[in-house]
Amino acid sequence: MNKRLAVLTLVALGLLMLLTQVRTQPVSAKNLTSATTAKKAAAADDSAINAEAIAALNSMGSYLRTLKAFQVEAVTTKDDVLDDGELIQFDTRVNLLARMPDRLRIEVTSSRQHRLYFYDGQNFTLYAQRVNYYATVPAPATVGKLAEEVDDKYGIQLPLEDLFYWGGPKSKVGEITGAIEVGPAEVGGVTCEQYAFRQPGLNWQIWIQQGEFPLPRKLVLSTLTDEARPQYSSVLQWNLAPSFNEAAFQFEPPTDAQKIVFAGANASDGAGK
Amino acid sequence: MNKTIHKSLVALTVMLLPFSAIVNAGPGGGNHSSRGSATSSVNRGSNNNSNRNSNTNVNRNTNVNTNKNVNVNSNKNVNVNVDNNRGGYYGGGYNSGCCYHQSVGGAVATAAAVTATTMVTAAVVGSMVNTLPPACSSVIVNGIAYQKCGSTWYQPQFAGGNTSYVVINAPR
Repeated sequence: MNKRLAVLTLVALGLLMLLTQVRTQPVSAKNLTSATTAKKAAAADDSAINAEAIAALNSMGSYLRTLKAFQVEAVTTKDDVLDDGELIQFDTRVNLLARMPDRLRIEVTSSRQHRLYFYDGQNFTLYAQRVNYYATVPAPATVGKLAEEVDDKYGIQLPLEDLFYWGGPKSKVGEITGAIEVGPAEVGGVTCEQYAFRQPGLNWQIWIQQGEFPLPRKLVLSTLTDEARPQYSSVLQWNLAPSFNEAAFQFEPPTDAQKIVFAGANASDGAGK
Repeated sequence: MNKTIHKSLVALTVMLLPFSAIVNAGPGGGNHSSRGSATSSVNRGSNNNSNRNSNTNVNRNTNVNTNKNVNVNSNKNVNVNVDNNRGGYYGGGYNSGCCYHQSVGGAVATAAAVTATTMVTAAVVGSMVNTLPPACSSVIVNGIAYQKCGSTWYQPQFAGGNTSYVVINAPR
């Protein structure tokens, strides 16, 4: 009796196990599949590129490239990272006047610097007013090439240089790995559409004016290559009908100003001119 | 006797330097150097940024104006990669206030400087500083401005958008 019971129990157990296995197998497989799908979906979300966001960026770039002359006054902040990771924020005001394709004047003021950048289609001059130093080098033919060249050669980043890259061949829109349309947002009384992008080493956001003048009104960049994630931000005010004359782009050194060189420039570039 | 002290000081300084990135810069307090800053363009390589800011080691200070000791400074005077010779910010005024040799040459440049038996800074050619030693005079050679400090010539320059001084041989 006992033996039969034991056998029956075993059989029952075996059946139960079989049943369970049969039942659980497809379920677990299903779970696995759905988990994978979910994971994939999440990954897709992470790197999802919202087509409208990219389109907005492109149309902003195209629009920027149609501008013949413009003036931008920007308030920027930029974090410096101390050796121990502490962030220090600096404020700067930028007043940029561009006449495309080959005239540029930028004035940068902060608590620590007063800089003027001049580009008249022939030469590029950086003038540090407080120390009364300036340096001049021959310049390429366009503002876009100038931005690239002074960065490559002398490590000088023209303030707001993105304005000259978007919509052009050097735009890095193609490197974007994530794009989100955040929604409408107001910047300085102007209704914009806010977007967030990811690209290698950088998360960034942009506020593009709604309507027929798709201008960048605000920018926030978070640098990912430093774990402290320093930020740069810029709020831009636009004047699409600036008044200026040719002299605005030419540097006349004050009588007591002294000529120096750009590090990285050949001594002959600056000497004796 | 003095010579012995000198030698040991040089040795001590050379030994200490590699371990003390921040060294007392004098009355104004020490400096914190910057390891980088936020990228300001989305269309330029973000990696450029760290390279670009690697020149911030010009902020590494070494005190050669006293032969006494080397103090690691704990003050919070921030010395980051901005326009240093503007003065004020670091207590080191351009052409006026500050009087401390700063070197990227590190131990070698400093050892040379410390070895000098007088207070004259014999800086190594190629080393870079943010602020000039005292009593410099501006000299124009071939239209380019230089700074002559004692027997040492400095070339003012824009480096990565900031102004700094490189020790050079006498310009001709």
